[in-house]
Amino acid sequence: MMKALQYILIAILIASATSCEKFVAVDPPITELAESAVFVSDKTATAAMVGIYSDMNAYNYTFANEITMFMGPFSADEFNYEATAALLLEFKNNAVQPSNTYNGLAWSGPYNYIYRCNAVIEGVNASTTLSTAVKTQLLGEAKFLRAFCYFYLVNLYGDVPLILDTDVLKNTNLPRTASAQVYTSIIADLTEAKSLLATAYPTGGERTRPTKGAASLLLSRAYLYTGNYASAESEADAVIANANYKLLASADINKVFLKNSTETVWQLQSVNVSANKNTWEGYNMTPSNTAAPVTNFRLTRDTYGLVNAFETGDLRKSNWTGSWVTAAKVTLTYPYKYKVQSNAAVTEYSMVLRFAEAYLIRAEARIQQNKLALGKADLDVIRSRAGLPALALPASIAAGMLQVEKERRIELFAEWGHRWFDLKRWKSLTGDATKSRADDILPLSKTTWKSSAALMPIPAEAITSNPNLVQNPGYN
Amino acid sequence: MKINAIILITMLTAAGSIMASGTKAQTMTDVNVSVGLNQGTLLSALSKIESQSDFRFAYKKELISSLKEITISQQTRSVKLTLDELLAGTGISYKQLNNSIILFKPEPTSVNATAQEPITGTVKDEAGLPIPGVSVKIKGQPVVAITDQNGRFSISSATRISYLQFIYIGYATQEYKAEAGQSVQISLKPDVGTLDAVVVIGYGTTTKRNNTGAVASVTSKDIASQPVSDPLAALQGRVAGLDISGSNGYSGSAYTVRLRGINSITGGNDPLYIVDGVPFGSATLNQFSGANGSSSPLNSINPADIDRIDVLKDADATAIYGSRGANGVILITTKKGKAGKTSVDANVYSGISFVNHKVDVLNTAQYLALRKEAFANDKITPTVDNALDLLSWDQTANTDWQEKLIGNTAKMTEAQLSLSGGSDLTNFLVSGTYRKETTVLPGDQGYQRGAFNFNLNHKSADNKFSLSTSVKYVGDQNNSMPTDVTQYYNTSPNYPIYNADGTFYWPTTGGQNPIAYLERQYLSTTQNLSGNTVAKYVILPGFNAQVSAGYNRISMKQTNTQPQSSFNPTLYTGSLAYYGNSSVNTWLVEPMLDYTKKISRGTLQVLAGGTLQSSTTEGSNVLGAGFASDEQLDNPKAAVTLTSQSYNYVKYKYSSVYARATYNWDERYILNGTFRRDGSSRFGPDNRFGNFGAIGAAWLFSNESFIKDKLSFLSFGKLRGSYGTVGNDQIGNYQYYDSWSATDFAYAGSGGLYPSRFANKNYGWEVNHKLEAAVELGFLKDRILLTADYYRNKSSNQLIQYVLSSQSGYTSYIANLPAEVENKGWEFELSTVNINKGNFKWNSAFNLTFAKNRLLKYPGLAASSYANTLFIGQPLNVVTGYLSTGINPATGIPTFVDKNGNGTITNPADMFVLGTTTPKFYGGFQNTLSYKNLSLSFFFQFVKQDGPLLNYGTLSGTIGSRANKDLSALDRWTTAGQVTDVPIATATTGAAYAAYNQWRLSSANWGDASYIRLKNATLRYNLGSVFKNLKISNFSIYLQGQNLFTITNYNGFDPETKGLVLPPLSIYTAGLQVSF
Repeated sequence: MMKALQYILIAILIASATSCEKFVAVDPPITELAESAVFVSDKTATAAMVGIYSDMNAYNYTFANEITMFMGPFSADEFNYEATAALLLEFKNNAVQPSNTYNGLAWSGPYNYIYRCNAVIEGVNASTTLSTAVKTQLLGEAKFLRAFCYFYLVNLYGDVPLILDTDVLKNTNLPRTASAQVYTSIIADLTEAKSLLATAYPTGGERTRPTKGAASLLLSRAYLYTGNYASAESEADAVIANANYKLLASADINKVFLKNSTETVWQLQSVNVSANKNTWEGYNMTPSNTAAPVTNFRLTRDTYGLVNAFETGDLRKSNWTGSWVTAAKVTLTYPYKYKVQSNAAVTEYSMVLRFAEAYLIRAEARIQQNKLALGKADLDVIRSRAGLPALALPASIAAGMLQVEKERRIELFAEWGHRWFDLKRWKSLTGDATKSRADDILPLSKTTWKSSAALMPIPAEAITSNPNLVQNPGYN
Repeated sequence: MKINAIILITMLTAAGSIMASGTKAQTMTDVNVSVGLNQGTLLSALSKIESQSDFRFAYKKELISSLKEITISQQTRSVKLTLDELLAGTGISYKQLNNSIILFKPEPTSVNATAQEPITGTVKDEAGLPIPGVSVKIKGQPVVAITDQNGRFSISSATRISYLQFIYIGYATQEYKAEAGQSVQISLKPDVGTLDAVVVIGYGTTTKRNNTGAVASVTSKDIASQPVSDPLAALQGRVAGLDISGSNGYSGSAYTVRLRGINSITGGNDPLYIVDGVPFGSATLNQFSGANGSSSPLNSINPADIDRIDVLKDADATAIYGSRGANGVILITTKKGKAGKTSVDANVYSGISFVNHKVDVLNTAQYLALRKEAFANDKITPTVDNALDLLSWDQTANTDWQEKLIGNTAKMTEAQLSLSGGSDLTNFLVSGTYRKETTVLPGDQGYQRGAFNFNLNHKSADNKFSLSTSVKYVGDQNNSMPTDVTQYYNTSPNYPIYNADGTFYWPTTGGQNPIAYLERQYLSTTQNLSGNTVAKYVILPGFNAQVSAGYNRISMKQTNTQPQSSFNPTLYTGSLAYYGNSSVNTWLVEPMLDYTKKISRGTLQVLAGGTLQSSTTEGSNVLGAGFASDEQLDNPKAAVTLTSQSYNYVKYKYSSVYARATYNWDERYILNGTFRRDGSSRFGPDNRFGNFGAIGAAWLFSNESFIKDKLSFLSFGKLRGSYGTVGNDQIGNYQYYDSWSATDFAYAGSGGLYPSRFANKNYGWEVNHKLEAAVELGFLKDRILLTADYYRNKSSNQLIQYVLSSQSGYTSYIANLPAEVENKGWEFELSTVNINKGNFKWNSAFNLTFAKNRLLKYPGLAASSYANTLFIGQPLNVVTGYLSTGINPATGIPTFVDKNGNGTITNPADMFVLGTTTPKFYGGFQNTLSYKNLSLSFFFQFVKQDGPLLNYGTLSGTIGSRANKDLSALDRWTTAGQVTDVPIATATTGAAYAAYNQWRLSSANWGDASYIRLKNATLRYNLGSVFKNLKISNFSIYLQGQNLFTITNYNGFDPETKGLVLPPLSIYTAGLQVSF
């Protein structure tokens, strides 16, 4: 008995003293997939791409909804935030601190997606096992989305580091690239995406992944922003000629933001619907109880405010805004493009690119090229759908631009910061070349406006982690 | 001195004649020596005699080499008496020959064979009560007796004169020289931290006397006297170098444990916990936190089951744990069965607990006046939208929110029952503990715990094979809140709780109703099952093989239910429930060989072994929403949607070989070397193995004759030092692995993937170089014992989350950086027997730690993401903030130092280092007084530190915002020219508002958080003698108090936990302990 125990003990000793090396090699975690296995099958490669869209819309305050909800409308003159959350007040007062969390997410979010686009581009290019169809589509989507992210970065921050590969250790220290060069990259990516992407949406009609139409619309916007009006016009032409898109009738104006409406060029599908939300925009901005509505997101109501900018009879005011009267007899108005605050059934998706913008882009591009009548006609398409009469033919480019300004403000309010970007990209009417339209307009309603606020501060953590980044003026 | 056999025999034959020559040799009865031995060898004892006298011994090596584990008390006797005692029962005789003493074995005679009359007697304790279960042995003879119910024993010796040994756990072993037939009366004395008490170290034991490393021990005596549920709470303040601070006063809350400081910049800084040889993870299993934060797995160890805790600090002690010892090692040993009469021990205590310090806040009149003043200052008219409290709420209601939320008195009860006994060969322990606590919150929350401990030990009759098996189970249930309600202490005093119709009142402008918040529930249940077995076999005398195997499973189930009624309907309509499930399974096999051999005048002990460990951690968190009824929130099936919030699965494997050699030369010089080679699955394939080791040495200079002669007041003196390298692998798993993970949500009919991390396949171990030097002194026969330690640990090759600029796509990756962190300090431990006269005894123990932590170097710090958080020469955990220059008397607006002089105050350009939360010094002071059957002990803990004050932090609203303030708001600036240190009232926006947001993060709200706390007091009365006839050996009643009072200048809830969290509760209990 004792001898047997002795042998057993010695056997255990010897057995366990050998093969340590093997023992500590653990299997890959079951929760993860090796990088080498990602761009092998069409399915996993596609997952790498759509994972970006999923994350773009997964949580509140990702840049894909915070630009719409507060960075844009508060920084401009669309929303009048009447609560006291300091981070939102910073946007309203155009005094954004480099430490502002939302501003931080608007920087780090797109750069994360850009890395993943670059990884998809590199992975797909290197793969020998993907089908050609999926390869083409993923390359197109990755280039489109990379351009999309840079478009918002360059408009929020000005010059930004241009990162086009996955060399993390090199990229982490890259300095800012001139915005013109960033735009060149955006236009190149979109041009390529346009040629790679399919025109048709997949069967089932879900408009949740970018197509050729999305690339064209964003490309026409990029041309417009960079003053290439002829190209902007021709790209907008292509979108308008695309049979996939149609403005909804005036009677259906409340259906524009429904999922996969014919005005949808690209929407982000609703994910994370646990709280019965459809879109974050609707969840945050729409009152939960429209019978007794209360929301912190209120349209500006001063003389120069958005509420007063609507013409009488504008269907967009009666359908796309809601209001309530306070005990103090003040009428407060909130954005009501998205109707669903919470509902288990998902009927709305987040609108990213909307067909109506194509008319507005073409109108502006035409007017800038002195094609005043054609431009006015495009504006009238939008006005007519809103139940408004046609405009008078503008006497000059400047007069036409005022019509564009007004129409864009009304049509695109509370969507993707259009108003904020417009005010910054248009020159001041005073003729002072150093000033923008924002310098004309925002001081009317805000005492806190200063020109340097046109660019958001580079987030503090980005500055500290990359010594080569130089802060925007006015933030030191 | 060794003399070979031939010379020996020659000398023996010549002995008689030489003796007769009558030289002037000293006689053995004249010369006194002082020899003490604890489980020592005869050889070492002889060496001691030689070193203290001119005598030299002669013997045959074979004669004495087998004589080990001899114990005689340290006292001064004649050489003859010493030898009599040493050689009693060994059959060895001696003869003096000039200055030589010759040891030899006489021819057996038949006289000894006659049986002797038995020795009888009674063993009593210090209070004069009989002790049952005391082992009575005769030295050198295989005879053992156990005292009975009345402390009586009877033992038969083979010799006329016998040396009896009385051994009883917790008491000093006593010896007594008795003659056959004698009746002996012995009283045992409690064993108070003697130098020869066992100290548990990695893979073995030693004594404080012979230890070359820095190890501090806390025994069940000190742990059991504290009515706490977490063993870490019982350790607070008791060990030099061990800084333990609680996170809040809820049951099951986590403790931050730092042993000799923070070594790692971003990795874990928790010590390694080993429970009965099995590593015990300190990482929380929480999938989401509750009011108590994330609870520590240590809370699922039952303090009542703990026999002792040994804290290993320096390289010498920790290097045997290789890559996991960098932050120190805490060894927890649970209670084991012991031989003796089958005895039952029952212990019950019950008591109350409450918050003993609240923050004084403004009353309604003061509060409303402040609010009005704030609006006036801001030049804003209060409206229903921005000032509900001024315009819609009752202007006279005055709710004491602290009283309402955390003002109740909690009750607690704990009952322990244990049964133990058995023979020397087979013995056992079975014990059970049940504990129930309620909380200071309103409602029926509470904490319950049940624990079970079983231990069985067996030895074969020839003492060659032994087996010890333990199985422990602890299950607890914590019914609490999802978050700490203490944060609502500053709710407006006139906040209406209910509407007229009895429903909860909700402000239309948002915000929480604290009472409605109490509708939310957090329920967590933890189960900890562990078992371990040690099998040991004596291959040859001195050569043992052993295999230990252990298994541990901890699982945690959490439910966080948030009914619709707890949400402000303007913000959210619906109900939610989170369901968390997690578990960690660990198994471990450790084979080991050890060998002891005498070499020259020393003893060499060698040990070698290996470890195979595997752990699997799994956890998931699921969110349920859209419940039809609030009654169904505990039922995931009733949710309309169930969304997986997270799922984690981690496998961790570990294998090592280790070895240790100790050479103890003549009880004077001790050298200890340790080596360990570790492999861990946490590292990439190319960098998986690492080597660690240490050298420790000790010089027991009090055993040198020149010290003995000159410094007789010095009863013990030791110098020891060690140097070595140990590692840290607390950096998470799979970090080297280049992979993609599933996004939280599918999209467009496809699952999503994202790159998990920027993988670095090359990173390696974080290395900690530990240096230690210490002196240990005993005075006045060890009545005063002093230890002074100096240590300096340098952690390099720091494994940090090397921060990347987010433009790269990632915010960090793990890499080794040649940054270096230094921890150094002084630790002092002093234990004294102040009075020991008759029935009155007074012992004290004092410990004090001065510790310094600083970053020595960090290449490229300025350009790194740590540029604003780490500073060369400063501690790692510094807090930065604005430097307040007071309040502008003209405007009432706080002003700050404009560091960069650009006219505005910004973060981080104008931030200064405010301080660190690491204590400057800390310690504890224990006193135990006893008089006859009455004993009193009390323990003070003290900490000198800085910390965030009450109004520090981003949760601190402006003076004048819709949140109540402490009384300091009464000193606020009100009129131009006023000099004060409290800013102007402001409610909404403006310069004052903006400045307050900086003021709350400034030096004005950072300050002294030092405290002295009466941590524990116990008064115990033993009524044992009263019940003597009922066969009750111990009948004690006692009163215990924990956290009785705190002396501090701190202005917040509590200087230990700081912040807006439930402070540690004051506990008062009364208990009863019966043993029979």
